[in-house]
Amino acid sequence: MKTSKIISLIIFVTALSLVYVWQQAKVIELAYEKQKKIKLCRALLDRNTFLRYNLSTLESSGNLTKNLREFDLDYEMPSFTQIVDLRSTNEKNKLKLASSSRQEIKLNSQKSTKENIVLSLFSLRSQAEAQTK
Amino acid sequence: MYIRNHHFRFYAVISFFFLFLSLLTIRLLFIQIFRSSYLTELAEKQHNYFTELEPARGAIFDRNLRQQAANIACDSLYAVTAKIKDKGGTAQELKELLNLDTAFLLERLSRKKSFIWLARKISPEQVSRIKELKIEGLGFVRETKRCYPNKDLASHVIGFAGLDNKGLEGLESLYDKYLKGEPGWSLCIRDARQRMLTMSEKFIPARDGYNLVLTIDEVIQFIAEYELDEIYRRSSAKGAAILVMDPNTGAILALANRPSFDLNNVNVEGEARRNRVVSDFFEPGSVFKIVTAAAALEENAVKEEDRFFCENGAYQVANHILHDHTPHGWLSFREVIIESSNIGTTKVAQKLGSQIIYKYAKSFGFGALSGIDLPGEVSGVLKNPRQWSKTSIGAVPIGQEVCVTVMQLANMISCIANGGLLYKPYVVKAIQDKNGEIIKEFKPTLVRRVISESTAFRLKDILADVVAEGTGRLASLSNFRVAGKTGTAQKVESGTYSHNKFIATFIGFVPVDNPRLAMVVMVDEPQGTYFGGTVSAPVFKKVADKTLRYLDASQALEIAKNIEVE
Repeated sequence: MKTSKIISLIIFVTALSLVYVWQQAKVIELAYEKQKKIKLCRALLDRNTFLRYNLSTLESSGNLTKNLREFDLDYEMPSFTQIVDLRSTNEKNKLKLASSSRQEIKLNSQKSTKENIVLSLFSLRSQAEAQTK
Repeated sequence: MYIRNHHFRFYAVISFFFLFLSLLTIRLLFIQIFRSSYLTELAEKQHNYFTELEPARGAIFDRNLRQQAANIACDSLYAVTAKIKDKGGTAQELKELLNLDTAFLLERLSRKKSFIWLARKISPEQVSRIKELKIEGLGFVRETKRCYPNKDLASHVIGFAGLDNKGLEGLESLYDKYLKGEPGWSLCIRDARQRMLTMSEKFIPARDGYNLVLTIDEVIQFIAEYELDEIYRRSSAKGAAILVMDPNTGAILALANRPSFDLNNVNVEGEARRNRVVSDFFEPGSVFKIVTAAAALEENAVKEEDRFFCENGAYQVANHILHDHTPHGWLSFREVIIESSNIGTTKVAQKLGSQIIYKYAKSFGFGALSGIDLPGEVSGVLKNPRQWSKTSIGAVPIGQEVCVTVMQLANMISCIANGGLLYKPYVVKAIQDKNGEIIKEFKPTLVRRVISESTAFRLKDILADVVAEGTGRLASLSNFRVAGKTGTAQKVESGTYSHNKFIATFIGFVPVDNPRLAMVVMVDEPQGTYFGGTVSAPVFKKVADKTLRYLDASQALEIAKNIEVE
């Protein structure tokens, strides 16, 4: 009995130690993974900053003027009484969609009113129903 | 006997093992207990590593939050010289890639150091080509490099930061303590392959630098620089400067100088890096007559209709003959300013006296620093009347024997434009953290009232006539009323006034009734035509025209965005 207890205790302690060691190894492994991801994240952020910088350079007034000269585009300043719509194509399309959907709603409501009138003309119900309470 | 021998061998072996185990146990106890602190410290030194976390330098934006200065990650090349076997060969291979001298590289590689820089902050193309060489002993460290997307736009305002991201000129230098941030640190564990593992909880994050938001408008700056560049090249001038300001607040909308330089490549001569607007002073010439005129009106010494005899172009002041560019007879006070008569202005000044002239010049800010938040400002020269000679009354009121900066002239004309108030000029609007929270905000600062509103109103009218009928005609706009003054000052050469070196200036504001822009254009030593009215006034016109269109367009766009489409 005593021997079996001792052996069980030794097995238990060994198992516990193995679990502890496994845990530590796992932590190190996760740390390596984390480090890889941090490196990847940093590289992506750097790339993002670099691209934003490139965008600023391309959009800069000096660069745009240089391109206009190179491509010899025929631009002129608008006169003081001229109105120029500076909204982008996307914004214009959105506005068109919004206004067309509003028009649809109006049409539908007009249509339903017309239908009601038509229905009421041929309705079996009397035109005027006086309800008295 | 056999049994006795057997027992002896048995106990001998047991004793040997017992002794061996005892020695091991003692050694173990010695290591684990007596040497534990020393060995723990040694292990920590090997495995633990403090790394400084570099903060990101703050960015610089214009008033509409368009980026003017940014940080880009890049690699710097270092060498572990002991690991490089063929130093000569390595130097040969790197010299073309890095554009460096072979002797320089060899000298660096020959040093007995475990870490030596070869090249800092090189381009990604250079990095990939060096990596392809697969030379053992070379490594890269990630750093950040300060970059300027607009290259030379507002270069004298923004300034630049050096290799170690420390501000060296301009706002980069003046606001370095806000831009640089604070480094953090982190305790990392290093494994046997020298790989870092951020496992420790001991970590203090870096505080990134704060961002600067300027009063400069990138578009107006571009317009100003474009036109300045045109006149600088066309007139083969020695230098040129332009300043555009909001006269109602003192906010600088554009500031440019020629020659200029690319902020991404600052290895240029000092001449190109000088901010002439604040660091150069010069004799202003006829533009200074505004001070005399303002003093005369404010002191009620003259009325617009008062007439002065301009001596047909030659007038003796002490032992000096003063001349007008065009001889005049009788001129009204208004005409004296419109025609820019030196003699007429001197007679007005003689009526006022030196003390009054000096008082108003000082009140307008001449002879003192404006306080603008840019480094290198000078105060110019304004002599106390005690130091005036007998001829000074014929010199100072017409802009000679006095030295001013472009900044001071802009302050003066803004003061007239806004009804007589002198504001402190400023370039930085706000300091923000990376989330856009305002850390510090700079608002318009009123310095003092220089002249009354009524005097300013009368003076505005006279200056509008300078542009409508007088020497400033080339500054007039078709759809806005412009007010201004021209100046053509002779430069001093070997103690005398030169007859072929001039400074052409135009200062003005627009629109007269509700001024939105105040501007100074200065061209140093234009070749060919050299008058302020022919060289600088057209620049004012073009910049003002384009800027007002831009401001109106921006306003209209804002209004359009706020209107709901039905």
